[in-house]
Amino acid sequence: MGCWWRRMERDQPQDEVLIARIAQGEVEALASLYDRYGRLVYSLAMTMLRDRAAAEEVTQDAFLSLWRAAASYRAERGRVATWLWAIARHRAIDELRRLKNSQALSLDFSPDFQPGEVNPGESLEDASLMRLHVRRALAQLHEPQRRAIQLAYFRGLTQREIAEGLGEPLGTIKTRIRLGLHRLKQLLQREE
Amino acid sequence: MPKSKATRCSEIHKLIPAFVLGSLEGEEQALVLRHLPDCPPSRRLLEEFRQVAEALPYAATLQTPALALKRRLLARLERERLAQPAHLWMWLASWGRRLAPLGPAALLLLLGLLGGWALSIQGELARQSGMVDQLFDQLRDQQLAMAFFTTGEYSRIPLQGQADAAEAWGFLMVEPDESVAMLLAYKLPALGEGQAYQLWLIRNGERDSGGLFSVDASGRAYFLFRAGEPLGAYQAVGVTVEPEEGSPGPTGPRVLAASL
Repeated sequence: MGCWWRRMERDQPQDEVLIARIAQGEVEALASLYDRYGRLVYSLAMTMLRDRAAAEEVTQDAFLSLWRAAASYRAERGRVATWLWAIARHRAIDELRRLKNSQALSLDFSPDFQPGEVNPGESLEDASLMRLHVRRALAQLHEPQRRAIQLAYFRGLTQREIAEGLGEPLGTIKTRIRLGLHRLKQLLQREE
Repeated sequence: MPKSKATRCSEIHKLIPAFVLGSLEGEEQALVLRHLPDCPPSRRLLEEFRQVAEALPYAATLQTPALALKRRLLARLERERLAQPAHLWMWLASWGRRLAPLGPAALLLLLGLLGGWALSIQGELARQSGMVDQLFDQLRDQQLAMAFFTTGEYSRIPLQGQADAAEAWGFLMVEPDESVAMLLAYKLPALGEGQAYQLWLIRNGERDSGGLFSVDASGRAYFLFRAGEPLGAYQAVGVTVEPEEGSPGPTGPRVLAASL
């Protein structure tokens, strides 16, 4: 997609070596993968659940799942990081759905996606740079589009649930998600 | 009249953004899944949007889990690894070979002794593991404090002494995007027996506790704290005198305050 995406791809060969070692039962390899992605997985879980204990549980579950299923990993089906995030996100969505059954559906979700200040030429960790690109792109979306995407991705809601929660027509939410993600794709491609 | 392939593709392409976010339901999701195998252009589009969705975790505000989480995870993995039948069998077979020449009674006695020894070691390891966790957490706090002083990527917000501590002053070093901040305060009054200073983070009139801290003999305090949300979400902070176990809300006199 762009230079930021190639940076994400760059770590993949090292990740695959780690996954192969994990499949052989090497705890140290899992520790290395945790050092690389633990903070990002925890951050995703915290953003979704907003509860430290629950986020830690999800993070631990994600790495445990990866540990148990490492032998079934196939590189052609996606990056290791993506796999890890998918596990964590689905686990967090399960938790959100469990909470939803005992509480009112919460649409109170408005993290600050302002990109923040970065000095030109400043040396940043790749993950920080990617974070900056994605947050900057999200911050440039129209607020209703950004909100619909946030609720779908970080709260695990379907388009219908978002429409009902916000009291908007379903068609409006569908359009916001479609146009918002198209715009986001364009903005991320511009980072090349 | 059946829809043409182009019309069907156009419909599917509209659904793909929601599909990669996992926000489609029943029939629409099935429609996409049925269509993809026979349509390379749709699969290319799906791949493009999948990359966009995969970038979204990077939008999450970066937060650091407790160091103890990694230790718990690795300990659990080690237990799982050892509990695998292959490992247990190898372990038992190894000890069986060593003890077999001593006869059944000696073997049972030694196994009993080994079990007792293992239990006592386990208890001691658990105690030491707890101490190490605490030390790691303290070390992380120190490293974070050093990072605040050396990176210069923070805002410095002055703290004003209040009526009960007019001479007190200080400042907060915060990264609005992060949930960790450092409080430095000077000339705070000495605390009484059973008292502590409690930091409050104020948002829309509600107060979240930022934790308890004390001062040295000169009234100085350095306090690294973590908020439940990024600091940018709060409008103000305050410090009050509270019982040493802390309070659910401010009850004592306010000694410091700042607008964020």
